[in-house]
Amino acid sequence: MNKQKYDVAIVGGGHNGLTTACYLAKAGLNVVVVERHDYVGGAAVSREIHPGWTYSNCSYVCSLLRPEIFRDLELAKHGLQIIPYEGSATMLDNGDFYGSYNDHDLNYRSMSKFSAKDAEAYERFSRDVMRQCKIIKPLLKMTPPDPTSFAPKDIMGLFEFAKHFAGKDELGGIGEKEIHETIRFWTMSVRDYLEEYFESEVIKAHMAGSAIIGTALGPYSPGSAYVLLHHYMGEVDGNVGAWGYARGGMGSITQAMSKSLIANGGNIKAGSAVKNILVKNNRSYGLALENGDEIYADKIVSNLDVKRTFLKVVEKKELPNEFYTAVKNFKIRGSSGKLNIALDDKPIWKSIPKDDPASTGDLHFTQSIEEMEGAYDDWKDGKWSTLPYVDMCIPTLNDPTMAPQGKHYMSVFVQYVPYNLADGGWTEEKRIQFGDHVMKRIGNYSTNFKDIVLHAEVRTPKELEAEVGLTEGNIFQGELTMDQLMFNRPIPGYAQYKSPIKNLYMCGSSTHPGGGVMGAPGANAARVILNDLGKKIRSHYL
Amino acid sequence: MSNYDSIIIGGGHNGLVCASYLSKNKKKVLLIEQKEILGGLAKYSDFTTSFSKKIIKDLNLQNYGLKIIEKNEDIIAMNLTGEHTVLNIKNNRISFQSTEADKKDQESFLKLLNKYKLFANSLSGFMYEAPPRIKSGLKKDLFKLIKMGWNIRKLGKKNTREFMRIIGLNIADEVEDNLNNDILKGLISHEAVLGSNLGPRSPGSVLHLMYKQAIQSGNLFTNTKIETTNLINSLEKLLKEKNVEILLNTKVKNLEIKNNKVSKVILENGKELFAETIISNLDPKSTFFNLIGAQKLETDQIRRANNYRQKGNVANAVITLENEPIIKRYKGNILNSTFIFSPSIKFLEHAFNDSKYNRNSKNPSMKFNIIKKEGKFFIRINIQYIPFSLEKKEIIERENIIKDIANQLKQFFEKLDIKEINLNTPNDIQEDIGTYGGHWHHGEFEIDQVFFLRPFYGFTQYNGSIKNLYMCGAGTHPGGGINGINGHNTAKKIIEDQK
Repeated sequence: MNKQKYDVAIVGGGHNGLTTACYLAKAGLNVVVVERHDYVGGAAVSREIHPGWTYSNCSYVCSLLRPEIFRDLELAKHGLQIIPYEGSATMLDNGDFYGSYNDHDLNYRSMSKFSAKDAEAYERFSRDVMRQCKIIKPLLKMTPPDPTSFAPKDIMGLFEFAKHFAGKDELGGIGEKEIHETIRFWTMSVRDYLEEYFESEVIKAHMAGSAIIGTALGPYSPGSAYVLLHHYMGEVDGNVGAWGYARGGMGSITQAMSKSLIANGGNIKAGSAVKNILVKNNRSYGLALENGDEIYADKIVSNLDVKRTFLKVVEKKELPNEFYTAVKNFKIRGSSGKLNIALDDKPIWKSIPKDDPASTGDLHFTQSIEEMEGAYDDWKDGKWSTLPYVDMCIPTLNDPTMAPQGKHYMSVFVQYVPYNLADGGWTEEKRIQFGDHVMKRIGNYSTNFKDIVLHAEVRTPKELEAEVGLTEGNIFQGELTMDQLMFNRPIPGYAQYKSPIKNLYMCGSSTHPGGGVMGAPGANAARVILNDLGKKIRSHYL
Repeated sequence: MSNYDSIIIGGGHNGLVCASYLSKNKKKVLLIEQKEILGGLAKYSDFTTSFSKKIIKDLNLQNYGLKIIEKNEDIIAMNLTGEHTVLNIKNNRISFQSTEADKKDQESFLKLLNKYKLFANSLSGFMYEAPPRIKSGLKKDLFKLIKMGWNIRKLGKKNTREFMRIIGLNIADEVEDNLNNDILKGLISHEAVLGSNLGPRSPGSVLHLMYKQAIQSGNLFTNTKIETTNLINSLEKLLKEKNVEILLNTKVKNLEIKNNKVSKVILENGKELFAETIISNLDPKSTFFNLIGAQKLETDQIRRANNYRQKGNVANAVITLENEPIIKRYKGNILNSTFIFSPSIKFLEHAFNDSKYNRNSKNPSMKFNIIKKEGKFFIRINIQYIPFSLEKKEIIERENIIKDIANQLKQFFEKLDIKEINLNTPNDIQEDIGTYGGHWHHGEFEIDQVFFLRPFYGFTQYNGSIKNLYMCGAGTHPGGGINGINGHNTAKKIIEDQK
């Protein structure tokens, strides 16, 4: 039995767990990341499921990774390179396509094809969304203040929070009008929001996609505009809102984090599934592994989602009743599926010209917001969408390392796919049916797709739960709705990375600021732990 | 030139209440109404259960013939496959008379409504005054905000956290977390979304429910009611006694704006009227686009008025019956009952799905009362979702809706002999009264259109950039419902502003 004692043991080697570990290791603590699989990464992994191909088989594009974290963890030094992509497209049934481009003029021309008015309105739209991004960004780094607490540190926290809105920033200040706009933005539906700017159905549909990714909301649902913001908040090469590919797949991010962790004296124990978090007298003191071993540590941090943590690896009797009930009611409904496809050749799209830069980015076929809402209606009834929204991309167009020469890897993210399938639930047969359903639709838009598929990995929320550990297959470790954001995330009163059990912390996306490959929850948790230990380190982020 | 202190445009109940308070304050008031009778949209309801007790007291309305009816009421949540859930309302307390839900569910149901009551009552004080402005720089606004926060915080840490959690939540998740029985879940969800553009899974539906409780002293169901014609008549009597001039059958064409002030009220018949203060009881869109006119507005204001969501979703019908109806499996007094058909969240969500695509619900939810007037029987029914439509609807659509209502109602009755169905869709209501979107509450009650955001930036304290123009209708704080609070608040603001 391994009786070594660590300063901190982190359950789960996802990107947030690794981030927390890196910061703590940098502070000189003796840390270990305990990971169930033989490989770390959680949902940010590169896997060779089909020989010769590398799949980013969960998350697939990068944008939200906090640049300060990138710098602090020296990820570039450890091999991480993000390649921005130049555009995105929605393919239309009539043989045309709508292309969105990073290049301002190309973008303007493309929009004008559909609506001159919309091309003009885009300036205003970009400016307004960017303003919201800039207001939100500093809030990501904050440990949410507890508005019900009269403790000095919480009052100070609330004050900071309020000051943020009271102060003047480089945009000329956040006055009454801007506050109104912000509150509206946070509570509106993305459809209502987009209707205030655009008239073209196609343009609106193209923009609305990022508001529904990973959610249990439709584009008509209040609160969906916020999710749009969440996905815009990223930065690649300084372009707020831009997305890119991690060279070598999303696993490169977590591999670089692992290397950084090891370089700072941290430890990784892979192939070690945790059975229980050991608790005595309301204090956590170690981990019991499935194989019988025990690991001891002064502090335990869980990278698992809040349900998996408190309903599976912590015993019920250790938790206050109200907390346990609140965790049971935490909303974590999965709504996404993923196909990872090995292609023998480059796919030829019926509507996108061969070398158009839009084809190197994300690709879609949903032509109206109404169609997208219909996809959501199907999910509410426990069915996969008849007309699913897809977020497809071919990273190998920009990153040849992920497939043999001349061949390609295509990632297809699908919305909506229920965790609880009506009429008996998921079976192997239904999983295959679902995969075929999506591939058939893709085939409709391509002249050669059907003939070049060498292999397809089809993942429903069930697979995401079973392999990645995401409860109900929710990719954000919890829905991003008002009742579960900020000081409500994951549970009101427990939004500061601490659990009711002393020395047991949380660092995954179930905590503020939520999901996406950001690293912010992990870094924020590290800051709280370091504070508790009275330790300080120099960093860009903390 | 001004021979009136105030001119009020629109004789709906809020206009009448506003006129009452202003006249009590010795103001010389003229009220202009387009129809031959007062009341506006109130004619689509036979009773109101939410008229403000404070206003009744302030205006001494009982002296003018107002009768408060306090008979025991039954709420029947109808069940096609089994026993109806019958709630008795006595002294504003709910008890289960019969239901298929078990004891635990019944307790959870009452507990849930009490939770909302707690929050509704904490905030109800803020109903009776203009909402604060965020970041106005004024101390009184900051003070009000702090006071509001403190009212909730006073309830304790646990309650404060719960309040903050549910303020943006959807009703479906709330009832699913707390209840098992479909009928109970469908009932609460129905009340949460009735009159809105929300479905049970829409964030903001819990807030809508809490608002309804807030305007009814915290009670979702109450057995205190007032007949709307009685209400309008007693208000009219008061106004006549206070020498308020009332012009019926008169429509206002528009307002003349000069130097950011209303200089004239111009009637359709060409006559011009003058007053120091002009108050519009019309919905925000009518006020901005018809009365003021786009030419007199800044681009930003036009955009905001355009973006304000005001799409009606409820159709109202009066069904004349040949004789007394008999409801299946209900033995109580049908004249003291409200019948609700919304048997599950799924049913309601499907009804909502249709409306999202501007289609009438194939299986709409229904809420109806049976009325006896002068020996004849009528059913007054609210049907949701029948959305307002900008496209022209064929006559056949109306015929279909009417046929559907008749068919669906027959499921509930042993005996139902329909003589005539008089249907009013949101389109009809817009046609009749002029309210944009035919929306009874003059605009959606959703998080971004309530309290200090209602109706939109620049006009959230009953007046805006045009200094002597006020709005007193449901498109202002606190929102819709026949409670009169908007009228009261506007009068209060006008009197304050003139000090």
